[in-house]
Amino acid sequence: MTEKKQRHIPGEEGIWILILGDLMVFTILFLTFAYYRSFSPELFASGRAELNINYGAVNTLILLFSSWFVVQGCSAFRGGQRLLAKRSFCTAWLFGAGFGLVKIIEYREKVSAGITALTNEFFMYYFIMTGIHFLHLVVGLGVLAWMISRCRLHNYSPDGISGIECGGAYWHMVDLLWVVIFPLLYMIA
Amino acid sequence: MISKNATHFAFAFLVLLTAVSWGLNASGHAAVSVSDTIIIATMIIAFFKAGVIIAYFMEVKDAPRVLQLVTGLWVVGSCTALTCTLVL
Repeated sequence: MTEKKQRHIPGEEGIWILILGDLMVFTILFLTFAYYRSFSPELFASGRAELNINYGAVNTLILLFSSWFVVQGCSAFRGGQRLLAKRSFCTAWLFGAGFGLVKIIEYREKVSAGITALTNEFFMYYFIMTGIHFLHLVVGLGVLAWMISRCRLHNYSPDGISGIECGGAYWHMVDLLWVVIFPLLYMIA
Repeated sequence: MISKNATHFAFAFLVLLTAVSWGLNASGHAAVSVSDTIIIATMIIAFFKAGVIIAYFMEVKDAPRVLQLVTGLWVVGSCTALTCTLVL
């Protein structure tokens, strides 16, 4: 007997319109960066050499761990494990805040070395791309805080999974954008 | 719902890919130029990771076909366009 697989949209349709729109905006930004790189490859290569790849890689791992805890939290929320969901979302939030901290340290190093968005074309794109991503991260931390609040006893209802899934999908988008930004700026620019 | 084992495996795979590409690039980070082969490989790995995140973390693997198609098109289309712009 064949059983038809049940499919459902994670979260709601609206969040996917937002996510796909955001992905398209970033794609245009990536393509613009790649296009202007072809006019001055030496400048972009020297800019890349001034970045610390360790910061970028550590931040990639931090966001992957954070995303993984969000996945665990959503699964626990669905299964009625309120406390486990809360702990998972709190841990994800801490990893997310860790990403922000590393990014601030990196920005501070650059600015104290006299490197700003006005230094050259490479750093203009570096600050625009990582800056817009940082804003997404800050919004994501707010979303995670809301998800944590949904795990409180008086707020909790497993029926509220749709909102939790929306929040989770947004947070994973923050992760996946960084997965592309990192190699583009730190590895091949 | 995607099984826990599948998400654990996807997570371990993503961490492994990140660690390997970090190790390979850290040694030659100061190099002035990057070969086209490395650019192509790096972009394919990056978008492959993005695809794994979409499928397993964002749970698109179990989503309606239309969402799978649109996100799949984004991964393949963006990877192709970006790699071509970087290399050509």
